[in-house]
Amino acid sequence: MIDLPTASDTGWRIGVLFSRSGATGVTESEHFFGTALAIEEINAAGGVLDRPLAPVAYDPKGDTDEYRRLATKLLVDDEINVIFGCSRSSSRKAVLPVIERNNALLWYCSFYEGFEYSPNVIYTGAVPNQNSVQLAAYVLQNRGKRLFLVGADYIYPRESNRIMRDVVEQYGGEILDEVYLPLEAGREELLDVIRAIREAQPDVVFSTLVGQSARLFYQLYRENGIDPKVMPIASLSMAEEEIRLIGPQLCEGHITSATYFSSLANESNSHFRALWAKRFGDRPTSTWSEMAYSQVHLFARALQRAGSLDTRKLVEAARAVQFDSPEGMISVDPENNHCALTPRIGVCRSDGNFDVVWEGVGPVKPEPYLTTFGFTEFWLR
Amino acid sequence: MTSSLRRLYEDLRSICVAVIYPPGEDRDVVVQQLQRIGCRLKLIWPMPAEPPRDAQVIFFRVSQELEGNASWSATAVNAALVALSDYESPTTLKLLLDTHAHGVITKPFRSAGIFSTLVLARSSQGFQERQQGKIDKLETTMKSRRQIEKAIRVLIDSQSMTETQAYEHMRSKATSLRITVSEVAIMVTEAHETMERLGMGGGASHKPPGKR
Repeated sequence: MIDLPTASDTGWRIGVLFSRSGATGVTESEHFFGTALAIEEINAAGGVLDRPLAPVAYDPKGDTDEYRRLATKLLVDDEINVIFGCSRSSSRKAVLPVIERNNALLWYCSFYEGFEYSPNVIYTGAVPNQNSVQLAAYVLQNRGKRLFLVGADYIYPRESNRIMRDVVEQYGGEILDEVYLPLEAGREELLDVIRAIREAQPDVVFSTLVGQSARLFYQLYRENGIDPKVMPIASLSMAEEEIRLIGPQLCEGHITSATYFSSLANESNSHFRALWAKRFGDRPTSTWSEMAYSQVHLFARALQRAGSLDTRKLVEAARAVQFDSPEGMISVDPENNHCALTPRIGVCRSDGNFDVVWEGVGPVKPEPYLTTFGFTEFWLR
Repeated sequence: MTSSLRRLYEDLRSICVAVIYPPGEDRDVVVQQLQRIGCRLKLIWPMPAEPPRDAQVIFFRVSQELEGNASWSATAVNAALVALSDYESPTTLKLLLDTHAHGVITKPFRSAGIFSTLVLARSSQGFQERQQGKIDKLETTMKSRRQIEKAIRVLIDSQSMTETQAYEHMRSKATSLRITVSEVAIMVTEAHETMERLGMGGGASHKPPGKR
């Protein structure tokens, strides 16, 4: 009897589900590139347990219904059990029923608002106690107490603003205004907000706009004569690749809170950046590509330990492994399937990189269900 | 008690359940389960400005994704309300609390749990209604007691009756006139006040000297 090897015998089949277009097509493409880079790197080194990773990738184009349809296709038609994908919460919520019904495993690498746990999801991005609170603290202590909030109208901005408002008001600050725009807000709407900002003269603008409208907002902000070095925009999402697209010279002085910046000086990051440059040329790495890259490596370690793509075995193994990632050591908290990550504050330079002006002393335990934030734990030194 | 509780799940085939949710797989899970249970269904979308009138139970979407969440809440609707929620974050919880729903089902929806949430929501709504009924009745009772006490004082002062006599008098009049004691009490008080306004009150002058 001869067993002919089939594709499913020779490779570990995994699904990849990121949008290459749509409102957040740029940052999700970064997720995609980071994922691809890690898969190629792992396969070039011989795969996991001598078998390569065999990805199947689909593009939901930013449409939540497509996320669900394609997740179903991966799980049912392609008989795949592990998916790396989703970015905005709406897409994660759309695939969650399908993932749970099929007892599959979703690796979700975007930062998000928390308040979720599924035994079928590994969350490798930051939750608010790993980025929002630090940003509020930094801004209040170093930039001033009068804030103007502008965001896209969906759950992440609403939650981020709730936290920002809580912390700012608790420490004697003032929210001058809180404005929401449609996800794909255009020039006129953004110019209205910029006029309102010029009138209100806040110390800092906290923006949770995302994607194309966020980039246009940053561009118009500078072009309308507001100097980011004097009145910066603080953000949880604006990173190197989007800065490059806006034009770095327009962005000098803006503040971003993230767990990774391309400028981090450590061995793992040098390795990641070199690998990235070889594959993608001049594009910079960012928190969007790095988290996607790191979670595939974390998965590979878990797979090596579990020797199986079975969800229960893989989750158990994921909780036991660590990865020395470009942003430092990351590990999955067995209590809530979220990652311990190191918070950092970066200020944008004219070359598009960020100066890290503050960083946590080590990884912060993820607290996805934290509703109130005292300063004591986060007081920035 | 037992029979009223049993009614909560025995009459499920005769009640009308409205489901206010956009079409799609999520709604299908809820709708198909309600069909299995045997409820009469009414599917509504988009979110109506007014709650549906003929439904005993309303499943409705609470979401951060869309504007146009229901502005109506359980306090204004005579039906059991079950929220269909997609997030559990504080801003969504606030939206949920504002609806005063009797039950909630959170995504991802599953067939299990819909039945018990349906029954529990109807039970809580029934309980709330009974409590409200009791509160209304107690408020009426307190009000009529105040009226009766006031009338008794009038009768004591103006008709030289004892407290017991005054009450007995009003009670027997209520029986013969087929009205409540508190209605008689109102008549007494109003008549007394009218006489006083006409300068014909001053019951004390009629009191026999012996009483002093």
